[in-house]
Amino acid sequence: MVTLRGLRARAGQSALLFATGLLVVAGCVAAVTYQGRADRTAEAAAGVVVLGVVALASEATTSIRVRRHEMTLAALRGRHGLRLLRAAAAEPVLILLAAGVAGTTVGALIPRRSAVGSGETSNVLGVPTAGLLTAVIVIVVCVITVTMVSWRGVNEPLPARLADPRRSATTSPIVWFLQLLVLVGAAVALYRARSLGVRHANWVSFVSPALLGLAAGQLGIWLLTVLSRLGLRGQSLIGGLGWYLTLRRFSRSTSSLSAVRLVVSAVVVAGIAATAWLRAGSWLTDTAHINAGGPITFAVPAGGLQAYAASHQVDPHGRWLMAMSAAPNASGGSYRDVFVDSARWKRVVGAFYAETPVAEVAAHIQALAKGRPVSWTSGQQASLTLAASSLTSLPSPQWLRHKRSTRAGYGFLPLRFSIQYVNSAGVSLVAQLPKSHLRTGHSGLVTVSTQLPGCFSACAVQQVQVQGLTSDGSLDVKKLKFGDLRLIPNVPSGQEIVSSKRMRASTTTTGVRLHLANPYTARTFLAWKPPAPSPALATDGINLRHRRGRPVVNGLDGQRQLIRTAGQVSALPLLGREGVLLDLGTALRGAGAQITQSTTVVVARPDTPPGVLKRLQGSDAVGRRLTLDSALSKLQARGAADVSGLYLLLAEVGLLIAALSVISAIAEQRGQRRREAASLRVAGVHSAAIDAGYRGEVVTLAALVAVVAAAATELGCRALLGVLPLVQPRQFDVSLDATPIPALTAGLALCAGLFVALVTYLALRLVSRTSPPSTLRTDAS
Amino acid sequence: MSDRLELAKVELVLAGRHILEPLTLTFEPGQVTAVSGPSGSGKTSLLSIAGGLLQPTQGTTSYAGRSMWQGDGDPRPEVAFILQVYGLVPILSARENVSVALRARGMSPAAADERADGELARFHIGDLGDRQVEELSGGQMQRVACARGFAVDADILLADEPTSELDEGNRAHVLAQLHAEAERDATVVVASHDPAVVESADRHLALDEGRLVAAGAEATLLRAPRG
Repeated sequence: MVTLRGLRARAGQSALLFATGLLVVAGCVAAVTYQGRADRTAEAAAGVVVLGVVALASEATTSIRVRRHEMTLAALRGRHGLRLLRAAAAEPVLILLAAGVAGTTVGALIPRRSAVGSGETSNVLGVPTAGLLTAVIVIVVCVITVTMVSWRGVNEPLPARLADPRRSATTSPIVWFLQLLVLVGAAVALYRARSLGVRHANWVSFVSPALLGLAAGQLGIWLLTVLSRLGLRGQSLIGGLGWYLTLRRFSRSTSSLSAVRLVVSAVVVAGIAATAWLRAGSWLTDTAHINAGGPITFAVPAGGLQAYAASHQVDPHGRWLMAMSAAPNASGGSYRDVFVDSARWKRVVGAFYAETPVAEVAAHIQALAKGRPVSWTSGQQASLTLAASSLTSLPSPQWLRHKRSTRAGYGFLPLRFSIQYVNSAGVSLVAQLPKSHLRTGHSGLVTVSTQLPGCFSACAVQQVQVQGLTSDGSLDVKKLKFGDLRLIPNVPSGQEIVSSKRMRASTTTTGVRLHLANPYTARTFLAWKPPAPSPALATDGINLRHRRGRPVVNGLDGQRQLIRTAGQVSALPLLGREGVLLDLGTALRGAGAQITQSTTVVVARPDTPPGVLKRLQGSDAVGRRLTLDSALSKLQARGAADVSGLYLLLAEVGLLIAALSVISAIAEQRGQRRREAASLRVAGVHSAAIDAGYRGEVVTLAALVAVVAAAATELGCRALLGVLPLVQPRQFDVSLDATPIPALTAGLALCAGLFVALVTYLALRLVSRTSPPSTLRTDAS
Repeated sequence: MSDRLELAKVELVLAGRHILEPLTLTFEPGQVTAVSGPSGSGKTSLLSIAGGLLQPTQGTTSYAGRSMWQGDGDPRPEVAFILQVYGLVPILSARENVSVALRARGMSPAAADERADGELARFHIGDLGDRQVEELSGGQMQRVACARGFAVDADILLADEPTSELDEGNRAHVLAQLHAEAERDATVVVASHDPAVVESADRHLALDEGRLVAAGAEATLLRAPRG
């Protein structure tokens, strides 16, 4: 029978049971509901379910125990069997049911609030069936526990019930069995979780932290008991009565240590969950940084040359802008490379990648810009100036008729310069000079020119070839311009710039003299090439292709490019954990049309003046603006780390369960402690000695909880973080850092220890002084 | 040890109810005084006031010129109690419950344990020294409480129903020990329903509803005027 008087008389106990029930059910429902949002199964809530069921069952059992005398009285008044069972179990069951309803409501509201905060839609916000089912399971398990404990009490012989509750000096076999079961269960769960791995993680993986914590707490209790017994052997050395009483309590009384198991377990669950949350958060931030490429980025669809040119045009001194282009090829290895304007890295990127895996790039970046960068122009005309004396006579009638040359007929082959270049659209084209035959008879200099299609913003020349007959096999080239670029190298007179059997070229005071041994074949007169091998940074463990024993990557134009590894790094911008980084400026030198799968951006410093950004956005090459936030939103939209929020929730629930367990355990002991203090005082033990004992107990309990919780959390993080599905990375996303966070582990354990100390101290500090021996007389009456 | 335990006009009122009417009593060393009376007559309250566990609403209690009430409800070091509810410490064994009282009075742990073993043996429970008190029967716990009370060689021994759970043989033994305490000049006051205790006492006081209603022939009875 549940009476208001009964509930009022046990208000504290009832409130604790209700609060624990509400917290556990709300935590479980919220966790499962959160899982639903994260498109995961309900298994991740298993840990908090175990923790909650243990806490709730313990609390409910205590509730039964404190009503033992009341039930004995009911039995004396003639209640037996089911009637007595109903009387015994009704009150805690009613409280549990009320807590279940309230907890389900609160649990459903928690994810709703977080979803509203994150701007999510409401179609996934209802309490899922799994949430309700979890709440029902938790409550049913606790009701069954309450009923079993009540049934056991109801069926006890009346004399046993009338007597004071006895406690055996030795642990009963069933308790031993349960304690060993927890240890074995934790070991099996750990092994199984590690065997399953992250891809096949199931409820066993998620329940492991709670079991590990319970087992660690049990080991801690055993250790303290053994140490206390050893300490008592040398009791003459341990000082006063205070420590003696503390050691004796720990060596014999399990009630004072009962909360340790649950607190350690809750701290382990919270510690692992909090570490998982932080690690997942860091991973999300790191991945967003890598995907964003820089503080502010502007997409450049036309490729690396346009990005490079735009950044140099708008910011010629390299203070604000930097071009970057990547080929995030899914084949991996040599097919993945990223090119950055390395000379500008430090100034533009700054601390953007600090504390991310890409941060290591800064240490090696200066080693990359070792060659001459690409020369580009926005001029739209190429011109050639020759000495007229080099030109041949009219072509043969046969050549004019067929417009072709034949070796057999010694047909006429007109002189022609072919300029291969990449235009503003990133397309590789060839411009020819002259367009028509230059006749003999000219004197002095002859200048011809041609249009360069598509060179409205930036074009870069790849090479210049020459072919055709001259008057005496030699040719004086006075000037060759590509837009506003002078292509003939500015080197001292008399220096050979080409030397081969088919062609030689040497500088003169006024230009270059060419000697063409075979006019029928096009020969490369000038060529722009990246350094070979190019210095590059490679990610750890990358599997590169080799050519003649030397590593190669695919260049900007997809052509093989020899590289020399100048440093190893963990991750690269835009690529993640696998790829190669090279200097963009040198890689563009002589590069052809860029491959279409590339991602090219101009990176801007976060404090770039608006005028600079405006000029950049005004250029035709630059497209939409991207930021770190947009990269982060994109990751969140794909649900890459949705589950991290769940882990934070689990951590909070775990810590609250721990807090309630401590308060409940100490509250349960208060009556016994008062009788004990009064008994000691009537025997002549002074309050100061009793207080000293309590202080020793507070310090020892705090130290035990802190040390065991820290060790178990550290072990749990090392063993389990790597096998819990914390994030959903793609193929080349950086790996999640699954190592423990020592400061967090230590901080949580310390806080748990301090909380235990504070609650125990507050509960016990006045016990001895407010428990005079006369209270024993009151008890008797 | 010739000081007397004196209660002068002590009165106890709790929650508006007179637990003890004004009483003036003197307990002599070397005497066993039995206090009898029905349940609720005030026997335990009288012992508690006499031993300094309770502060009387009116009046004073003193021993050797010093007030028994120390202000905190603790008994004076020269007082030993044997409580009706035993007052044993659950976390301690039978031996430790005895030795802790000795250690509280400055005895070394080893000497206290040795003395405790002797006291337990004195009450025929020497073999139960290592048992936790919650494992003992009511009679065994009562004898542990007796052993603790006797062990400290107190000047004043106040025993509340010390034989209520004991068989005849053990009861006689406890009574003999009470007299032995008196013989070493201790002041012994025993509250009991047990006629055997009353008969064996040197002096007898009978209480009813907080009033002293009768006294034995050897008793020094001063009935306090109502107040």
